[in-house]
Amino acid sequence: MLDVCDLSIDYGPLRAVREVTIHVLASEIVCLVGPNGAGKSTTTLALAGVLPITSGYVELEGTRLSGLSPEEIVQRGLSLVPEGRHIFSDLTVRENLSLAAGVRGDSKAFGRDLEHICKVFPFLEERRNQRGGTLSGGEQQQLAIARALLTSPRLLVMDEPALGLAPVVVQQLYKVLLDLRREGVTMLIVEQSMERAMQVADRLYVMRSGRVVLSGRSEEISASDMKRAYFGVKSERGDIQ
Amino acid sequence: MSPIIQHLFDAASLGGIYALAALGIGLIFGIMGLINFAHGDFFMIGAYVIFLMSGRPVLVVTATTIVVVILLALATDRFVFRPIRGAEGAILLTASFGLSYLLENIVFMIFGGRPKAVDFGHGLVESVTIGGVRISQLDIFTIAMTAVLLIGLTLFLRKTRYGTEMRAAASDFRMARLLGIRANRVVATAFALSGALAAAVSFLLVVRAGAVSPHMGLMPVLFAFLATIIGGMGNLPGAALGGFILGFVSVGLQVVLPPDLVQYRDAFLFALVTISLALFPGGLMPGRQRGERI
Repeated sequence: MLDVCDLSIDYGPLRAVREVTIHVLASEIVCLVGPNGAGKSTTTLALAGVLPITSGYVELEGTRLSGLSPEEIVQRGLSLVPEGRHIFSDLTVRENLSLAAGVRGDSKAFGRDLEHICKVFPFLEERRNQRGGTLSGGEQQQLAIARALLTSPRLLVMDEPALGLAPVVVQQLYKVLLDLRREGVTMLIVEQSMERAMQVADRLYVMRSGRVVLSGRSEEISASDMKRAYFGVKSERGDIQ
Repeated sequence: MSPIIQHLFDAASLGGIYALAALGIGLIFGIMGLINFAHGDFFMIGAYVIFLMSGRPVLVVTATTIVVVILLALATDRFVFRPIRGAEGAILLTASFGLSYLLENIVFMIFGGRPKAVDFGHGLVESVTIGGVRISQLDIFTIAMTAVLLIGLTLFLRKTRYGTEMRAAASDFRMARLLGIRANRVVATAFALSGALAAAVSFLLVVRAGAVSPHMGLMPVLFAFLATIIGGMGNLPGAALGGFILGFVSVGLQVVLPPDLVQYRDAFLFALVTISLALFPGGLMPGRQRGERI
């Protein structure tokens, strides 16, 4: 579904992402793992059209996304929930959700999806008239995901959805994400937690210093290989992963 | 009692003009981070349209002025500000200065620099007596127009899809785009609204002054900037509040200052603004700090 090939991204003179290649297949959860400064968030922002791509390309179901504006990329089916949720705090829950309607031509289909999303996240209906900024961190994260889902994406990209949430809330959140995967939603998730990524992902990409240093199906990657790649320590063979 | 009520009407009327002008500036700043100095020239161009159309039916003059100023605002977005969108604030500000200078000089070349009398809305200059208090019809008209436009703008921003999109974009433009909201459409809508508000200010300035000149937008836009700063940059209710505060303080100073100091009223006003900024550096209703530009 998503093909990212040899993607490089510069911040001024600094190359933040170097020749990264990522593939996501339909109905998969793929996790992008790595320490702070690895280039994960930069990669997601470039996929969503927020940052310009220096070289390489991004395709979603064969459609080239490179060079398109963020709004054009959403229309083509890639929706990003950026790090930090970015809820419109002065807008009500309902207004936050209704913003996604603009990208949809069919208001009836939007209404049906909104009804379904409110079943997945029941608090949305209960708190529809409450301002987004007054929700708890976990509720804001769910609102951000619900809002992105209402753009009817073929691929949902999430940057550290568990960041700053209590463990019990993270557990609930990932339960919802796994339910969504069963419904056929394809996801690319940025995760700092190796354990969580290995639990939920079909496939994993480990990034460090702007490069993909390890990738594969989650069941094929051992925890020790993962740790070595994540922290950049020498393997038993002596090479730096 | 009667003079106090008259002064209150004067203050509300003047404050209404500043509030409308400040809202036009605040709309654009909230979304783009652009302090549009050329907004004062939208008032001036609108006033010249009224000058050119004077003698025709009021509805025709009104419609033409609104359309011309909105088109001018949209054209400045498309041809001046869109190509430099995302640039540093200083570059945007410099571009708006350049645009302002260009518009003023075009009008200067065509009409000359001398003020020209305009025969429009002179009926509003007369006063009416309500409960023993003589009140200028222009004040009543200005207050009513301000109220209608403030209510209309609030309803647009609160009740329509485009309004919700604009509020979202003013809060977090990048996130709005990540939800598929079209940047160009939101910015153009903001410029169109800003143009409509500027056209309203044009009418009020022309009726008050009874004349037009190429530099007539300078002082109103300066006061509008002050209003947005006092209210809190990027906060629309704050901008409106700042406008009314300026109106009331201006009229208040006019009343309380000794006759030989009245000519220095604006100096006192600016001193008070400086003190208010020292006490409330972010304004009375601080808007969000703009972390990024679009």
